[in-house]
Amino acid sequence: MDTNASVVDLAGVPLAPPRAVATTCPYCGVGCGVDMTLRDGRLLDVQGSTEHPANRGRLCVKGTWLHESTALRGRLTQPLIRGKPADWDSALDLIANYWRKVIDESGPDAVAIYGSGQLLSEDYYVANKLMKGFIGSGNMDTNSRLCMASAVVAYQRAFGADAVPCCYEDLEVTDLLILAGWNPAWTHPVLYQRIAAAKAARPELKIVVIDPRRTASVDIADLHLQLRPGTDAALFNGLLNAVVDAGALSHRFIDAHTNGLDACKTACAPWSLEHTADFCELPQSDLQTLYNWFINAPSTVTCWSQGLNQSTSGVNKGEAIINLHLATGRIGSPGSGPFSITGQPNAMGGREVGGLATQLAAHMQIDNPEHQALAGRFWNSETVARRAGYKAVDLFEAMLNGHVRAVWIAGTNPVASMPDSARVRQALRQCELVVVADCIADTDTARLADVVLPALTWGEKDGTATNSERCISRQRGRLQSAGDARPDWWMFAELGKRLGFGDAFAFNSPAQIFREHAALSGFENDGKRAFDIVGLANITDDDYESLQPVQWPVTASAAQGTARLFADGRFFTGDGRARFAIVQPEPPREARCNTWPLLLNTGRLRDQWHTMARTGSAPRLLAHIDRPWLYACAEDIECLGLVEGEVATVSSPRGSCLLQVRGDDGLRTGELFAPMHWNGQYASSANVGRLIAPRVDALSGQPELKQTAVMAKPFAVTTWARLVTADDIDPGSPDYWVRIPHQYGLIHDLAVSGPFDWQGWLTTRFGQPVQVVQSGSPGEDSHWVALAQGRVLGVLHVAAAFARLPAIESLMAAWQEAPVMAVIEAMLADDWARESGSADMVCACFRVNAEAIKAAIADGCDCVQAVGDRLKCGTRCGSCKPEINGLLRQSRLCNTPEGSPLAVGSVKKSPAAPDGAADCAGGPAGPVVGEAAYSL
Amino acid sequence: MRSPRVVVVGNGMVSHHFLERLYQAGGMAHYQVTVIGDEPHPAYDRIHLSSGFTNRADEQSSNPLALTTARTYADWGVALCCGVRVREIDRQQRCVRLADGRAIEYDHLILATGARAIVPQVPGHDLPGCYAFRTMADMEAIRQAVAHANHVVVIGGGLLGLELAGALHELGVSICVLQRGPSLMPAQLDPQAAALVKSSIEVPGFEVRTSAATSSITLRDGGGLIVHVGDCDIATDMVIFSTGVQPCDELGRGAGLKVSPRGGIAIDEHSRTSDPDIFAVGDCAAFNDVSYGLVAPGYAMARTVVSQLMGQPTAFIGGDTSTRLKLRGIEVATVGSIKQPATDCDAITLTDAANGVYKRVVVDRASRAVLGAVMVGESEGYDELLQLYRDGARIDGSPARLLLSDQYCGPSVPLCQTMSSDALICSCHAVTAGQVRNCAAAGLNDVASVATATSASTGCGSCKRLLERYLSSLGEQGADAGYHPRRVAG
Repeated sequence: MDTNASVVDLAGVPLAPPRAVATTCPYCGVGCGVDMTLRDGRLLDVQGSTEHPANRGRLCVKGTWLHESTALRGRLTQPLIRGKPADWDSALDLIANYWRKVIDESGPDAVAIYGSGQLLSEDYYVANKLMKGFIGSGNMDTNSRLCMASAVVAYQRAFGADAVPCCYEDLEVTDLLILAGWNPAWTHPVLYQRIAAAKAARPELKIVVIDPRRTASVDIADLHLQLRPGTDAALFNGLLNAVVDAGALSHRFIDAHTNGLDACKTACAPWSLEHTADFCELPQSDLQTLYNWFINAPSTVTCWSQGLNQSTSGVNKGEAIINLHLATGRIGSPGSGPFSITGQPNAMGGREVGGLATQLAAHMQIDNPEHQALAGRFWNSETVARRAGYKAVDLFEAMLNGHVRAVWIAGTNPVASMPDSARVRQALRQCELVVVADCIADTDTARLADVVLPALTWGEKDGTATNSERCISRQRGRLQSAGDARPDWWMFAELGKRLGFGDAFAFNSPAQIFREHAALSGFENDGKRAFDIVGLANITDDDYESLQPVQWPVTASAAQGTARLFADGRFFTGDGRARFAIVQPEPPREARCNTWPLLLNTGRLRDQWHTMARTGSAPRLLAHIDRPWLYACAEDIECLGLVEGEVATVSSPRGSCLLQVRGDDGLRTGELFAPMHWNGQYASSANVGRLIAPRVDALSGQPELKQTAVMAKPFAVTTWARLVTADDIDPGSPDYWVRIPHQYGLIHDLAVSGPFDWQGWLTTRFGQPVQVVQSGSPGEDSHWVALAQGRVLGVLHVAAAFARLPAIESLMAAWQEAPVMAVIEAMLADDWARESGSADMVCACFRVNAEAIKAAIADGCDCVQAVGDRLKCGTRCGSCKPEINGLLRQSRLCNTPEGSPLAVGSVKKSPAAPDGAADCAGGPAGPVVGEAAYSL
Repeated sequence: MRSPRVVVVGNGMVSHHFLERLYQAGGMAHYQVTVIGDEPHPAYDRIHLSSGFTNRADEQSSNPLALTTARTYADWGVALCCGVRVREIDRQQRCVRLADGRAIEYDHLILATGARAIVPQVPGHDLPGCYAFRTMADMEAIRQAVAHANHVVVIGGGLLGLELAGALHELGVSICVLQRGPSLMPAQLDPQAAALVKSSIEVPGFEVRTSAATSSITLRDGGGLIVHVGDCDIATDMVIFSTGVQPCDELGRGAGLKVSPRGGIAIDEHSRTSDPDIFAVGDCAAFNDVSYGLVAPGYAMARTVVSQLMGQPTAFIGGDTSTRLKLRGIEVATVGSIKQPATDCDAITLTDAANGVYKRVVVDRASRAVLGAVMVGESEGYDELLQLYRDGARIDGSPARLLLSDQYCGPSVPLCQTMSSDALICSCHAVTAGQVRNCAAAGLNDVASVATATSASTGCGSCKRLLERYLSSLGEQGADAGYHPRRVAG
């Protein structure tokens, strides 16, 4: 980045000096501080904020390249009514009139808002106030229902409040760190880096990963428990039972601060080491190792995330973890606590304002008459909601059966993210008025909307977000807004005014909303409700503008915020004592059978975010993994007759997906993994939501997205094609396609089963007549170039197998050639390096692929730092270090005469480094391994 | 001393070319030449026979298709026997016996008996209203019948059938072309080119059906015919067969000359048959078991024979089957053959669907020489391609350059700089670029004058545009402009 103030533009006019503005990253729940470098309203670069407590200057690959995802392409810039441009007044009048009619005819529960953890707290607050405070319905739910509703309920049941006790520092200072159903190396890379750095500095820090997959995070683990999917609660019950047997209970804490241990103990009693090992399909010795470490550790943090939450017994799993911490008193002190990690940047903010249909507002309970009255007094409303609204899955079901007649979906893409997406689609078709407010024009959900409203996005909008450690940070809007896009809070306020609640919605700024939100949190609180930021209720506009990150509660007695909760052992239950839960472990609801013999796990990839509306447009972020692979172990690939690189049909009773197959020896036999990101704009049929049953946890309403019984079969591809175009195209009708924006052009990989007229297809892609030049003969690979007006509009390569396609790197290098004839000649030649299927850009920052890293390793680079010194990979954001280390380990295993210790047994414990040679930092001794072979 | 006797059997285009070349070479001074033709008139332009429907002679003026006259032959000293058939060759007596009983002795016998139309033996092929199309007499008969017809079925979707159908359509008759195989002009085109030709030429009143095998033809109640094709009956007024030709090789067979298994009198590279005193030229001959059915190879054979007779033997090295024509306004051009084994060559195709253009060029993978090309809809670059093909030149870079326009390849080199002096412009009459350059230097700088002077473009006519472009490039660059081999690679 050039920050030189004397920079001139092309005309020689001095440009305004770049300005740095601190804001917060819009991606995951870590909530990193980001310094935007701006010039004339354009984002030149971003840097991690060194002052922000979440990241202290670090950024992951997504954050590092935020400025590459702020292009206006694909943005929604004006309201549309049934596809036709409209002004804001017409769109909002239409919505308000229809909502009024529906409310009059069918009552307030016939309308609903479905929000998102991408909304800022101010947006959330206004939406929630409108629905629960004035319309008088509980029907304000959010996509956070899909990621951590189970943790919310577990916390509420145990602590009497949805209150995360821990802070990030606890991850670094603890003695034992358990990561359950959480792959921070990919989902929360900055936290992972903090943990890895702590591990390097303090090798005695024990790290245990509990995950049915051997994920990238296992790289720093001392122990990986590759348990049977969904059996986490049993494992924790077994652990608690061992704690009891070992006499390691903290009676002092239990007696002073909890209720219900006895029933809990009784429930755990059957979970002997043998039974637990058997049930979880783990070696007893590994379990025993965990037990020993846990019992002897002075402090423990247990982190859990979607792996446990997205379950029909997700609450149970969270409670099983909390039980352990209550039983050992490991809560409220540095390095200890049950720590739920949120996925979204402002899932926590949503929880604080009460954005879940099961909450009222500001940690008030929706079915609590006192709270209803309190909210009514604060808002001066007589129509406060009195009962919980529809939770996400139920909400769409209610649209299907006509109970909800109008819905407003803000900042989320449920058609791509919900289970049983076919049914969600049907529900939206059924719903009389679907409003979608989004920053992106074309989403799977917006395609079904009656009215779409252009929303501001990151860099444009102003407000606050709360991260996983309760830290409230400002997102600051400095970029030129796209067209006529507006903030979500403004839209909801306008709807409120039009529905006749004008006085309550006369908001002019996020600061004004924030003050009201803060005031409500402190209103008649007196320490009764955990969420209390009354200390910020009188913040001036200027102070709001410069608000520094602060962890709630923020009160008179804690003006600088609060790092840890429950230090005093006082909880938010009626009697102030935490409650042990009785946990009866339950298997995933959907059992495998002969027809559906495989278990499909879903989750995130390192460089993608949600349904890709933002990250999908940033070529660099697709370089790591450019398509939705179906991951399977070699044994399953063989048994199922699949071929790596080729397409498989994955089906469940609800639908099917087409995904390309990729080997992953980190998976258990019979278990598959597919990413949850790809939506209908980026792949023909890769939306795994269509496979997943809408089965939910009875308490939290969170769907079981992690375990679906499926079948996978080869999809008989007759021809493959790889298309590169200069401009956007509609891929049309091929059976399978995936869209891969690349820095030099747009790539589509396509496959068909049966005869296909590629020439006719290519000819009609460009919206103008083209000449098509082709080389190759029938039965051979063929190469095509589409030309018009002296330009190459696109090139197409057709082959019988995926592995016959030209490798993307060499193809895109040729695409960049000049003059035009050189491109044509290069494309038509048949001397391509072929697709290896493994040219992933491990390092997206410096575009270093796996092949290059393997070559460097073979050439003597024997640790992550040495590889980085040679190739620069891993030296910017560091997100790829676990994978570089994985490649190092792979090469060591290949060189180990005894073969791969990882391949033995269903439990894959990280092997000890064969010798110290490869270990720059010096790993821990003992039966444990996972070399933290780099410093951060 | 008695001059050696040359007897030519057949007086078609190749026969005429032989006589003309022999005359030009001064052969009439050395040989006593007799030509015997079974048609009632001397040689005429069979290639353009279809044009006779629309461009017909009135009774008075001379036939525009005529290539010569009895008077011309008389002037050359050639004895012409028209309308009489040769019954047999008596190799012992070294004479041919005519149907009228005469015997004509020869020292050198040249068989130029041509080919005859194949009429498939479907039931009803010989009903009144069914015609073959090969000779002037056929043309006349058809012309008279068409005057009373509204609808004609042409059986055969080859080059000749389509030209015939096009000519008849211009007379205002509705046409249905039936092609037995899946694509038109299979001898010249690949399936894609054929499909484009089909879609380009079809209009209301001009129907083309492929994969349409005629099972029988029957009389229709109330007049006319019914052509039965699969489950479909086509009512029509006339049926014309244009389903290919077979060599008229009976005389050779009867005389015990070696005959190709696929028909045609076998010849060597000097056009000699298995009897050294007997030559065969044109459609009746088979070189390497190939009967070309095209005029240019026939002419080349004829010139080979002339060279034998004149004591400066040159060899016939195979026929150039390159063709360029307009079919109902659609340009169709071919160079060499595009039917090559895929493993040995690189093929590049250009398709411009919006403009109805299809081009394909095939290059030998090892030698990088052009093996063949086809162009439909537009034939820009044809001349250069043809030249490269004839020269056997090595193509550097992608053959795509041969198909793409200047906006992709950069400006093209003027023709006069790309054609060497001995490069052929007219393959029918073996007229080289050097000859044309000499004409131009002598002030003959339009096609008509060069044609008069050299016969260039007066054979099949394919080279007319090349000649025109060559002359104009000479005009632009000056007749003394140097020759620089075309650089194909950029």
